[in-house]
Amino acid sequence: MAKPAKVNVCIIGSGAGGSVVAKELGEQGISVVVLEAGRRFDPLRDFNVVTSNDWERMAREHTEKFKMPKMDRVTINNSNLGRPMEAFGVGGSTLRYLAEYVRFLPDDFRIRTADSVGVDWPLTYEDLSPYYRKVELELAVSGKGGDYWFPDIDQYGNPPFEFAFHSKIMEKSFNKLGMHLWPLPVARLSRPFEGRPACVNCGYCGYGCMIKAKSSADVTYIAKAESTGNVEIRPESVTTHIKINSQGKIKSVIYADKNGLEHEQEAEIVIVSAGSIQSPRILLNSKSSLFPDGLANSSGMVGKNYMIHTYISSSALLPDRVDSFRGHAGAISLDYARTNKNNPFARGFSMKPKSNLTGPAKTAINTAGWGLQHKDYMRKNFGHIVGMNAIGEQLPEERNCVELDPEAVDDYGMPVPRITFKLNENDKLIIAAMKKKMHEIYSAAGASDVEINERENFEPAHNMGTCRMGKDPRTSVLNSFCQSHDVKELFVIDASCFVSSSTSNPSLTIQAIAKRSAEYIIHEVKKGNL
Amino acid sequence: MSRKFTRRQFIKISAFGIAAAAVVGAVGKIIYRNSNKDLPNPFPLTTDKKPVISSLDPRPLFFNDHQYNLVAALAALIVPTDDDPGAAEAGVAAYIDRMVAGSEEKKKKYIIGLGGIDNASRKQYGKDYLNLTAREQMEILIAIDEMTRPVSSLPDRVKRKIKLLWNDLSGKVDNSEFFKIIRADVFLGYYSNPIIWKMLGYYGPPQPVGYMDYFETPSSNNYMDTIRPLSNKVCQNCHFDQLEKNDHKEHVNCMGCHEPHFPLKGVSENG
Repeated sequence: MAKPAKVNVCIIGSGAGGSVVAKELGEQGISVVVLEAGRRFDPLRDFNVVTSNDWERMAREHTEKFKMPKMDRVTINNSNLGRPMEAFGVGGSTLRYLAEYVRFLPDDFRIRTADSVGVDWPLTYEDLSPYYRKVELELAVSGKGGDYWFPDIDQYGNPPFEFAFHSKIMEKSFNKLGMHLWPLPVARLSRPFEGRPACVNCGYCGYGCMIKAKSSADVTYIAKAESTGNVEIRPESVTTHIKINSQGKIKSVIYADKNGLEHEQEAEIVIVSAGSIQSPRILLNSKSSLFPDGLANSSGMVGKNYMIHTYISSSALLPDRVDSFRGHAGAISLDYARTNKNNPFARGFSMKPKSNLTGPAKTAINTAGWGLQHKDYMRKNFGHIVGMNAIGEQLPEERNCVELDPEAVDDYGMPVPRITFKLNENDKLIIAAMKKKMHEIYSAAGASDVEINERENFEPAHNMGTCRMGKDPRTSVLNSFCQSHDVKELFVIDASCFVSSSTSNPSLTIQAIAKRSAEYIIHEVKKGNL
Repeated sequence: MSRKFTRRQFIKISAFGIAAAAVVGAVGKIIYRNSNKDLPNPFPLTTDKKPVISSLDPRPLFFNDHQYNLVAALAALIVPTDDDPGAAEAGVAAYIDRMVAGSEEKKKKYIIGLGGIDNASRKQYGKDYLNLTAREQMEILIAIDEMTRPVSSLPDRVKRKIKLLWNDLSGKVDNSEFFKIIRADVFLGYYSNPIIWKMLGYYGPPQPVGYMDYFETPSSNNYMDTIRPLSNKVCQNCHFDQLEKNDHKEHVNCMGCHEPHFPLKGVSENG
């Protein structure tokens, strides 16, 4: 087994959470190694997908790049869940995210107090607000201040993108129903920033941004971390477990390189930022005599409370041509994100108009028919298609969990994650309400052919909550700084720490929490506590 | 006289199956005639004339001449020619030939699938598919397509089951999987040809120039000639390295800062 030189901090995962911590610590002269399971991408070469005339064919195979065939295995134990999405590579899931940077609402942090469901977070919106602001300015998030829902945000780092043409049309029907749309804050540049160009609104953030206009972790925090000279990114290094010594202190991280050879990276502090499926998996796989049920798992809560977002998408035909294939819709409504006493359910959902980003070939394939009638259909309706999507808050349940499959192992000999998931009644009521609201909005817009995704099984892109934070070490894994209650040199900094799921996309909140935790780590290191 | 055509109606229509397939050829654009049973015809034929395979097509990379012509004939039925170009004009057969040549999996599927079409045609008419009249060709495709439709209601499922059983007994080949494949490939080939984009008011691939007019009323002025500037130089303003790809006219905006970029010299024009 090879033994690289010891470092101060070893970070597992280079996504939204890990990248921020790497940069913050690196800037303070702390030596950091980041172990990333996936490879490193060169945006201009690797994400050059939707540029050729038959881009729709090329695009089909592209998302395979973000998978790891050797460890891309998950056992799904129950209904209501398809294959959760994960992206491997330097930058993690931010390589594929749509960079929608909406903060969590103040109420999202105290759902027990406000709505008598779930558990309160050990921190408040006010605690996190300055860190939200730092991230928004550091990434030059494009958005509009003076927001109805977030009156404390006066300005973003960049001016907002305009509403897409079809969002302006849809806005009228939102307004008819007493809702309102606001420019969606996005970590895409509306103006050039730090040598990166402005976004050209191609709409294909999900395939990786070729021109680096999307502020994914690889071109922002990781690049800055590496430029400090104190941070080494080690791609294609798959972490299998973490070792502790007999005093219960962190000893080292064991990982396999791309040739399958084992290495032992010694470190004083370990930060797990591998996402809400891989992070608990690594902890549960790190068994020792002190922690027979997995590292930092004296509470038994590692892997529990797995949450997703109940994501419903829909499409319809508008009477007029809107050409919604032109990039992002750029608008959001949080009107129904908070609990409304008139609803039969707690919490709520966010809604966004959506572009129909498929080109003509996929539109044709997805529509029935062929022959002249098909051609006529395309001439008449192409450019009339609009979409809408809604994210429902999904409440935490202990029975929804990520465990180790006792039977299956992956190519690295590590047990594959086994996910148990079932929607609860509240989630189902929210889903029904989202669908109803979509129908109302479409009919206010005079749209026809409304198709709402009726799929029962969700394929979540937002995985959250599997190592949740809390004040009580008996019912939570981490404190409010993402530090393990059991092992104080161990941190879990990604969406695993979430206590509730909110209706906002998680990346911004992960990064704000990561900034706050990094500040705490630096403070503790300087005081000599770590 | 065009009808609105939705997926649900389609399923409804196709549940009636081949009864709706009595087709009368008509000259000109789109003329629908109801069958005896007063059902709308889902696939009107424009003409009894078979598609002309252009002699300008390059030599096939993978198919033999018979297979190539068969692909061309199927493509021309899936996207016929009317006032706007069809699959024949868009070179779809050549596109599919190139695509299949690059994939072992596709090669297998196409060889078996094309053979299945000929088999079905010989079973029904005693001739190869290419030797059928346009109407007979169409009828075979309609019968295959009917089997690709999802059915949900119990009576429809029973009907489907009986139909499949009957096909088995009468020795018919199930070509529905292949039809799905070739239909998708024809659309990919057809709609990736820029000569088709004008018909749809589509501007071309999303990257690298994106859609900077996304907030404006859609307009044919946005057609790709005016919005697809590309350069292979580094911008003097923002130092953004423009992509190495190619074609553009004289005045170019930088892909990074969108400021006017210096005009380029000596770059050959493309299309």
